Amino acid sequence: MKRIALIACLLVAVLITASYPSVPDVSSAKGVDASPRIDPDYTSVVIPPNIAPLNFRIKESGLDFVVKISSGNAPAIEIHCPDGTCRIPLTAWRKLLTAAKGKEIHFDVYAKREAGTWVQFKRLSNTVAPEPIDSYIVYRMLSPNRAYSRIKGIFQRDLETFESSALVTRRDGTFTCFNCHTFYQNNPDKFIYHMRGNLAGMMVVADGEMRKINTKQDPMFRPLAYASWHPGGRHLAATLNMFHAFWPATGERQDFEAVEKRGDLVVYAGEKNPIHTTREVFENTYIETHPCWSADGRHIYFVRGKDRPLRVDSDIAAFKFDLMRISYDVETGVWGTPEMVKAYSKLGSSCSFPRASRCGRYILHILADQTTYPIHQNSSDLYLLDLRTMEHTRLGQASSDLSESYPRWSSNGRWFSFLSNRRDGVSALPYFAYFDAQGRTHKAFVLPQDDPAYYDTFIDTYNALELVKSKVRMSESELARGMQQEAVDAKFPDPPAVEAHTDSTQKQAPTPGGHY
Amino acid sequence: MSKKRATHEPSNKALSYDTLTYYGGLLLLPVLAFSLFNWVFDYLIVMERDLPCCFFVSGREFLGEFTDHPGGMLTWAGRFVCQFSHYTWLGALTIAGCVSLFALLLHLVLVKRGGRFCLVGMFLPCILLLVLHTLTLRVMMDTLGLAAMFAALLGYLYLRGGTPRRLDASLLTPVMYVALGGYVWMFVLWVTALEWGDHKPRAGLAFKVIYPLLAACMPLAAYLWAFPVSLKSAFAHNPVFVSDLLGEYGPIVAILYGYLLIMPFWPRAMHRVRKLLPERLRMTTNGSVARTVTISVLALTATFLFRSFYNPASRELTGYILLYQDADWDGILARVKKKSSDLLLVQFLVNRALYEKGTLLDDMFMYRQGWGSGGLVLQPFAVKSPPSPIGADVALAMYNSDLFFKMGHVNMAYRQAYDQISRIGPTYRSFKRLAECHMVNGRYEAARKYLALLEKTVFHRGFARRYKALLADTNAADAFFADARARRPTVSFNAITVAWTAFMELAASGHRNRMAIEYLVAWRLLDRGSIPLIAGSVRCFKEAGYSRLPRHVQEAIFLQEVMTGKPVDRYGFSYDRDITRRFEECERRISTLQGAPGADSALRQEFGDTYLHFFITDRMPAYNNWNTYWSIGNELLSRGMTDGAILHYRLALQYNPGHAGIRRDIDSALALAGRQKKAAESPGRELPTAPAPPAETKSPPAQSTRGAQSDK
Repeated sequence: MKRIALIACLLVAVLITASYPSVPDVSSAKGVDASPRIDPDYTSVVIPPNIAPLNFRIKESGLDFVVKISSGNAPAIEIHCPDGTCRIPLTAWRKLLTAAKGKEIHFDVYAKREAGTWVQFKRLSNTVAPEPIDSYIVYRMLSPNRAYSRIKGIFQRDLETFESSALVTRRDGTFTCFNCHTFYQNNPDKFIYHMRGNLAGMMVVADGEMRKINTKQDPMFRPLAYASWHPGGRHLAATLNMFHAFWPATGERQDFEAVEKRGDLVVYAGEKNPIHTTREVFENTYIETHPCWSADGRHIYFVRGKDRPLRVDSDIAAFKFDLMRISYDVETGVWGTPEMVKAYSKLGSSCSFPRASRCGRYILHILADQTTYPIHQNSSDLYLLDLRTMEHTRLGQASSDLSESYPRWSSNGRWFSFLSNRRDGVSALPYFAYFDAQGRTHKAFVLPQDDPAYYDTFIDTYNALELVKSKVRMSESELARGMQQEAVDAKFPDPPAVEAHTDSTQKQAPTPGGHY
Repeated sequence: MSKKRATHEPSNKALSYDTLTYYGGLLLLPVLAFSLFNWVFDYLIVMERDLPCCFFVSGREFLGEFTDHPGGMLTWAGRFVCQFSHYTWLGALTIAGCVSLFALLLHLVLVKRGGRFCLVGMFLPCILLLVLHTLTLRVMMDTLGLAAMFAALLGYLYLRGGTPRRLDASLLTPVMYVALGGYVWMFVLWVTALEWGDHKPRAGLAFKVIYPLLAACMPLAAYLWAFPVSLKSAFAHNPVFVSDLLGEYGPIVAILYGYLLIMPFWPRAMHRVRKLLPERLRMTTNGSVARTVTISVLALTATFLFRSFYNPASRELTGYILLYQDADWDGILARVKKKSSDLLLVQFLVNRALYEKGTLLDDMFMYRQGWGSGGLVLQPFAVKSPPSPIGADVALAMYNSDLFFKMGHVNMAYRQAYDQISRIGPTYRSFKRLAECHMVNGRYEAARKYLALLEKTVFHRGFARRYKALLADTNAADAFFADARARRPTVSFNAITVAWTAFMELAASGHRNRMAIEYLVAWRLLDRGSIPLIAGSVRCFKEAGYSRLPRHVQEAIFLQEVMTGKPVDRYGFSYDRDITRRFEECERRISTLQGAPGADSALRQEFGDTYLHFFITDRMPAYNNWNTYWSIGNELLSRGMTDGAILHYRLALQYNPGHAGIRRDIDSALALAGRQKKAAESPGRELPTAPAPPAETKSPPAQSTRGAQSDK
């Protein structure tokens, strides 16, 4: 009996081995003077040593393909890709990247032509950076152009493999919206996110515990939205925002646009739930939004634009935002006065999503023609402001002709992530770029997928992409249960004496429906 | 011991009917199901085949969307079978197949339990299930769920001995819970009841007690650790009996599922009931008379139920939908002439057919326009009593999308399709539209994504392949879409999101877009509050090359002249003799019939085809409000179209007389108009270079400034 079992096992093993495609011999391949076209474009990029395999498709004609990946003396990876789809084995890839830290890795692509001969394309090279990237991303997934909210949820993805899982979803239709998940210094165990709808509240997750806070307290016209953790980990700078959305009619602008018509800045001190603000940043002359603490925790950077009448289409262009900052002492709760960091509106641009680097020297941000909603504006690009020289530079290596948005630094400051719809003009996808010690930015690459054709049928959009050091340990079920708890009211001990409700000049759509 | 009990099941002889009748019935069932859904309830398939319940794409990604909650696989399987509703006959065949599978498994379970040839026990649930299928196509998923439960039960029954059965149940239950969701409870109840009922009380006592408890804990475990779903959803996700769609189908569901729960015990219960009957009565329940009576009762019940759940309005609508899909505009008009209809979608389709035949503004009031402007472009607020089992206004969004796409307003068509996806999920039709819109707008990469998805479907891959081939050559694609691109609006009234501004945007884009002009004016005709704007549309007709003003436009501007006592600039168009004559006649008849019984119907009979009659009898609430008019006024003013702006501000003030903001704006518009007039009158001075005013916003001469002067 045992013998039969042994023979059966051997047979299975032989069959599996025989069915596995062996790599054809390409030693006689003739070189061609052309680089192979591959999709996604993983050429001349700097990649982290802990990134998942950069699987790709070869967009050249050929009957058969072979890819060899090598770096110095490290053992090369040979992959047979009969249909041009190159899926790199994870273990071999990991070993290769470890050996290639700080060096180049080369991709040699071979194609079998109709005559049966093999050709070798020009070598593609990428560089492996010495510093790793945070190993997880947490993002929201939604429809890219919605009149009605259809948020699939908040998900996490392991950057070192292809594993992804849901964190917060609305599978029962119980929740209407989740937004603005914000991690404390890329720490997966400490973060907040907001819920709207019947279970509305701000969820504060810290060290395995969850609290739900009702941040919509008089005179706040909205609950908190955009947020940033203080380096001390106890305070949040946050804004409350009011948007208006528009659907352009002309062909060049197909997707909806949004304008912030009101935005105010507050600080939420985590433990006793108080919310503090000052009239300087809680009023309706200016719109304050997109807060971000400085690296030393003494200032809050934010963008500010003047509130204007919003009556007609062309008025949207007048909404331009400057980069500002205001000091706030978390010990005493004393606010300073807003200071202009860079008057981008005078340069004809609008600033959004500022993010201070860990070293404190740079502000990574977006500049677009108008508003703080850059994802549907082709003019939006990544910029870096050097706080020493006060010079701002377009990150041309990372930016594209289409839109860029939502930049975030990695915990070691050597990488940043952002969203861009450069692939098809509609869906925003996660991109990563290396920021070297000399302050140079390198060409960005898209999030690798197990199936390199994944983006061909991807019709949703990534949103609010955050880099985190490791997997969020709180499970989806735990988060779902935590969201059911009663919200504790935040306190607003010193509300500024201002009219909280904006005197919007925007004409609303007529009451009955409006979309049909 | 349990084995022994199991073999002592009730005798089949006493319960059995004639084999031929029984198997004949089993064979007849698929024929009946197919006939019903191919010819009688075909409206269900026609109306729902373009809804998300029939949307299925092959591939791992799509499957992945269903594996995040218990019962997801059943939903996925339901979607798979529902996709075959692409053709009515195939949909009917699928339903027949599902119900037949259910019947076959039910039959096998009954046979196994000793209830062979029980006509009522076999065919009543099949009839009820068929009736339930008239609710929605989604019920196919429930039928598959029931069939899976029967198959599991059958497997359990076929195992010999207590231990294998218990092992089977223990292993199968969690698997079925994950795959089939709430349907697992039927299996759990059956197994528990069979264990207690068929065996001695102490036999397998531990299993009898622990099995149901563990089964009840499954959803708790799923809720706590496995699936982020609510507890309620963890317990009963999917089955139709927890659906909020049920309504009048509630009793059917209660009887069907109630019976199915006791089904394994039905033969024994019937056997005991018969035993209690007197010998004479028992004899009469056998034989041909009893069989005939049973069959008659079943047939009558079935007829009664199918008649009760038959929806003639949906049937009527389906006729129109099919004609619309074939672009048979004459057919639509002929059908409505034969029998008029109050249905919203019918009004929409009739108006569309009138436009296609070139008589929208001449003949629209010959047909019912009871839904007002909501029947020109479908409005969500208008769908109070949905005429179809779909029940959601968003199901109608694609009709609007078709309209705007044909008209050239690609972004509006895109939005309608997108809104539908966002609210009810993806459909083939909306995916096709998104692909088309992206292609017209030159976003070929985005279009390719939708085409790639459609290529993974069974019935729409042809569409995808056709366009993919076209996109392979960008120049050829550009040439192919050049016309559609040229018709897109060049003006964006961005601040306003109501549908009729889309017509304004097209009309103001200077393309002489006849469809946009006619729909814009038709909207204004149907929205009584907008009558002052109709006169301003006359120039549009002139510029678009109309040889005469359409009849209803003549009626409207004549009415306005009468009401205001001021002449309207008709740009050389004259009134047809019939217009004035009938207007005067109508006025006379109104004063003659004042207070007379039957005055309404007499007037309708004589003048029901005129705008005047619609104007005086329309009871639809005004769609527009001050905010809309104010916003449009702002947009027009920002483009230098002072006349149109003033007209819209005045309308806004009619709705909200005390609004200071509007007053301020009208004052500045009047001041600007005055300055423009002065500039135009002073010789040698150059006119300010404002964009050309849209013809439809031109005002009557009494108020007119630039528009009229520039033409003179």
